[in-house]
Amino acid sequence: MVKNPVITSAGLVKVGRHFDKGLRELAAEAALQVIDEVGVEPDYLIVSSALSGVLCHQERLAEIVARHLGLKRVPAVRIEAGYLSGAAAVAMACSLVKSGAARHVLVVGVEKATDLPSAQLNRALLALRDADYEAPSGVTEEGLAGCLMKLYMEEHGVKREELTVWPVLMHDHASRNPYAQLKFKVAPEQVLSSPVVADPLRLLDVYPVGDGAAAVMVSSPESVEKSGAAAEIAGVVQVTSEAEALEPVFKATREAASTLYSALGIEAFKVEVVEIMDTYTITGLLALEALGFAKPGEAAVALAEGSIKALVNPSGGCKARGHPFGATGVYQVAEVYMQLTGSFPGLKAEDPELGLVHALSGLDSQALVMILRRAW
Amino acid sequence: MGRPENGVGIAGWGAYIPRYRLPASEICRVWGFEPSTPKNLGVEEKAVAGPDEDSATMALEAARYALRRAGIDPSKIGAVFVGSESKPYAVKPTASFVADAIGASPKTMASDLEFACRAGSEGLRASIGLVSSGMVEYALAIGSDTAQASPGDVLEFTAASGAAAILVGPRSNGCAAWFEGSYTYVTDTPDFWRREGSPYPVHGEAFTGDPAYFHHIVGAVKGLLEELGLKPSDFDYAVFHQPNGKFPLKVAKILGFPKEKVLPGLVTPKIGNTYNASALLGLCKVLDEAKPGQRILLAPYGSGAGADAYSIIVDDGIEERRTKAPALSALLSRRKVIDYALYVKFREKVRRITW
Repeated sequence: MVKNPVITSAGLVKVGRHFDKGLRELAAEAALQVIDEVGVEPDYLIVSSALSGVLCHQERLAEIVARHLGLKRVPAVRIEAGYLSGAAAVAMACSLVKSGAARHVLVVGVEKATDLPSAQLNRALLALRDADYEAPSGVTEEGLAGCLMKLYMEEHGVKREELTVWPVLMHDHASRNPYAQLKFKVAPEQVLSSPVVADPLRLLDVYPVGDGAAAVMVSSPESVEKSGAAAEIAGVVQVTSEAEALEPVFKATREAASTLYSALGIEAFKVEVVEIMDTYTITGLLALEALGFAKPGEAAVALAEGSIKALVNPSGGCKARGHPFGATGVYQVAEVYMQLTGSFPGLKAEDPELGLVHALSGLDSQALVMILRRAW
Repeated sequence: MGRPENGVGIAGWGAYIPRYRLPASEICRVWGFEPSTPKNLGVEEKAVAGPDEDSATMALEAARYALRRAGIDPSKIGAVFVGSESKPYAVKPTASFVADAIGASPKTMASDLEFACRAGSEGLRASIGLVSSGMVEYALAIGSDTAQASPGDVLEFTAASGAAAILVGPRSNGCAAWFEGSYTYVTDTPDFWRREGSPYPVHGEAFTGDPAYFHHIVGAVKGLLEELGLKPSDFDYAVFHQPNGKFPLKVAKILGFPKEKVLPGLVTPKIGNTYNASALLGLCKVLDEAKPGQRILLAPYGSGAGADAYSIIVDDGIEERRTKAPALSALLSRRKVIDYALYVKFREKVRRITW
């Protein structure tokens, strides 16, 4: 007897440079797929976008999306929590459904990042840093990630070449995902010779910039037919850390994961498919360890040896599927939903029952772990 | 059924490339670019106009060579068009300066045109029209630029200086090659622009690719092939606008032209992107070697955006005209390497005051 909120439909837009589409067109492309499939109008709309204000000069985005979708009288809000926006939006939707405030919540993640030239985009991204203490110093997230990568290599005696395993794996997975932005494989040598972004981080260790939109309908189990494919949201834990990771351990992720596993009475090895928010190679590896899929310092080796049972980022992750900032979390939830219901059009996990979504803000400044289970 | 272009031929052609070269490695050294950047652009060095040169002086040099090859009385020239996005004057035509200097004035049309990198080509299409109608006997179309780029912008690797002139006249008077057909494809696409008063242009980075360069060149070439009933295999050479050393090869692949047909007309790796002269200099290089009867595709492109496509058939008259002026390879090998400091001085990128 499923008591948790369920997802019965997901819609995705291929991540990429959509020069001919703006925020509302992208949102509609994902959302209308879901509204049509579920066949009901939602009684709440949550739009997640991390930077629509600075990238597109558009706040009040949820109303604009609601109107564009032709939804009448629906309460509409936009959620923002940096890269965590999408996953947090789904978590909020769960709360609305569990409280009985809504029966169907449409969550639409959307980001339009490719309208600005690089210099302006980088300035816009500074809005995700502390405006008083970090942004004026000129430090970027990439710079901090580079430092973290260096610390990780020093602490665990890991060689630079070993860390190419992550982008190589992500690109291999994305090459099979029709929704991925970078659908080409890469070799380790290409990673090591790609332009330096923030040493030792190279271009092929960093997410690409792209537009995207993803939508899911989160519903109360009583309000849906028990016949179709569905995934229940078994649990969510969201933790803000004391400080952004200044040493190579993702404490917020670790705490969120262990709290959730405890609450559900499961261990990491029970999860068969995961979508980790790998904004950088080092984020992906540290998250894998913090989630309990590998011991500290051993994530790269574990991946290389194939000793992790769970299928890691079959979508290609942020690295290759893409990272449309505030929409990414919804992509991840949609992808795990599709894995659990056997409908993912790329690399598939074998008959999975449990899936995990990991999202973070910054470098584990805040982390969210969500477990989904095949509903019926 | 003949087309109006068929009665029009290239009476003479001329190229001018300044001698100074700035190696891409100098830009890397000063601005901290990785060596992979110029490698990915396919550009080794670029031609830089000297301190006493500008788009007008270069236009004149190219025009003189074209006239030498044509061997005609310059008073028979009834129109001079200069396409440039780096005019010495916002108001004061380069065309009247060139017309006067070569002896085409006073009985002549003269005008400067702007359409980013394809204004010279627009002048060529207009020239073909004027000659085919009989309104003028000969018309001179020039593309000339001392292209600008903001210091430290990746555009600095390719923004270069050069000029090319095409003198067209009645095919029946004898020519090096004649026009089988021409086509222009234009839309309002803001991929690259320079505001009035701005010393440097801005560009839309990735937006300058698929929706701009590729879309318009493919549109123009496909339009031309359809109208003429031709296929890529009917052509011996394919000369495209060359903003870097890679785009022409990529668009050739999309259209189905093998790279062997593109390489003879690819000059950007050695001199950078000469903007209005870009595709036309590629044509000049091909005319230095092409044989009578061969068919050349010429496809210039300009941001904003638009592309042209011409089918040009080489005539018997090419051999006698070829040797009357320096070959492009001679201009390419006339080189003096400068460093970034001299480049900045020559291109007036440092502000000086005198009092």
